[in-house]
Amino acid sequence: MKNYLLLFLSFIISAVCLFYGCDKGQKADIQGDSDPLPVLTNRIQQCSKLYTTEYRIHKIVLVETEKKIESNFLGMGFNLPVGERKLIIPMEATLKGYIDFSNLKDDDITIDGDQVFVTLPDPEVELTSTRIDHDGTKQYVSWYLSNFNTAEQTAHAAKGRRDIINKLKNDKKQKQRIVESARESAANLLIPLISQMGFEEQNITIKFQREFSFDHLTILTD
Amino acid sequence: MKKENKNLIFGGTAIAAVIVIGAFLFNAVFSVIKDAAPKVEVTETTTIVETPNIIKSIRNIGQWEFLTINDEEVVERTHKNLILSDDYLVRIYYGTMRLGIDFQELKEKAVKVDGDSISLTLPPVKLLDDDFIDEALTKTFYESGTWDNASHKNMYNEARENMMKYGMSRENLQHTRELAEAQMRQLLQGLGFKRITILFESR
Repeated sequence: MKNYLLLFLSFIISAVCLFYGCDKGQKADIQGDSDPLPVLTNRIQQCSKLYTTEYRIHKIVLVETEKKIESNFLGMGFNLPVGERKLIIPMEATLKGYIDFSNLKDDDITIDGDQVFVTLPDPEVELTSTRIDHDGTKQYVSWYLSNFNTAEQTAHAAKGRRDIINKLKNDKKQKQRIVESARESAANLLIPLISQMGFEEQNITIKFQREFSFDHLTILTD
Repeated sequence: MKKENKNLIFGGTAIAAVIVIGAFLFNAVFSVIKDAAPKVEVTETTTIVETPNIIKSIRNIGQWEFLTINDEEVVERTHKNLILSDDYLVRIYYGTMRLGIDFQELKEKAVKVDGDSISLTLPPVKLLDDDFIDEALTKTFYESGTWDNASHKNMYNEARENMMKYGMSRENLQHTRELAEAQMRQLLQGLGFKRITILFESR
């Protein structure tokens, strides 16, 4: 009697598993793909950075999405546009050129009689902030489609931020302008300061360790 | 065991087997029909239009940063609905506060030199940037319902306010002053000064 009952139950269980098991597995996989909860950390760090130049960059992120119905009915493929959504996100990024004084070594400042020689570390550039213009953010959506939600807007703003950095990395002229202005500004700040300490301006020499490379662009909390 | 009971169990098992085999056949036939039927699907293509970086301003600055405070703030909003379930929006903001000295605020008579003695009066320690949130890095952790631009702006302001409370503490400002003093002392020693006095302007 027990054997028959076990056989009967195993039939039922295996049937249930066969028909529902796969679906459950897919759901589990999809859940596994979702972003984990970001770990929240607050850090306080000591540093010594002299920011000498500031760039403010304005960027407009334009996003267009088009919804279509695609079918291969009777062997004939067709695309039927059903609506579009457009999003405009104006944003502003601030980049700053700086000299990292924590890299300054003792022999980077030398005094020879009334002459002062200061060798500064290579300038670096950092993206210090981005700000979205919420008043200027607009979306145009066909009435039967859903608006861009907050998560979608966030994702497109992040792409805009990446585009700002990539464009700067690939634009040699702009790189050069930032480098020159970071260097000039550092000299304009330090020479008067050192001259106030009793040295003649013409006796102060400020130079940089090596050619600046924009590949050093550091990006905040990336 | 009675013969009637035995027949009942055999019968039950047979019916179960028939159900399972039938279900297998149905599934096989259905999947064949599904593959043969015309496919109709709704697709969405997203294009990000290339736009230039427009340099709005370039300016020379002289900000010396001594303390960096990285902060992450969770901000949430709820809309109460009368009939349907409530709407929620939870976002995580990332910011970096930079504390230091703005050398453009250095007074003309801030440096006094007398032989190998120097007295330097530095401007007060402050937050170097009012915009310190990297808003384009913000993460939307949970969202239900619809949220407008005013809500996003309002949440940004709340995140900024919370970060300021955390970062601009008396301890952090004092620590920044100590670091600034140590850094300046090292620099002045490098320039040959033996007796160094460093003061800070009061606000």
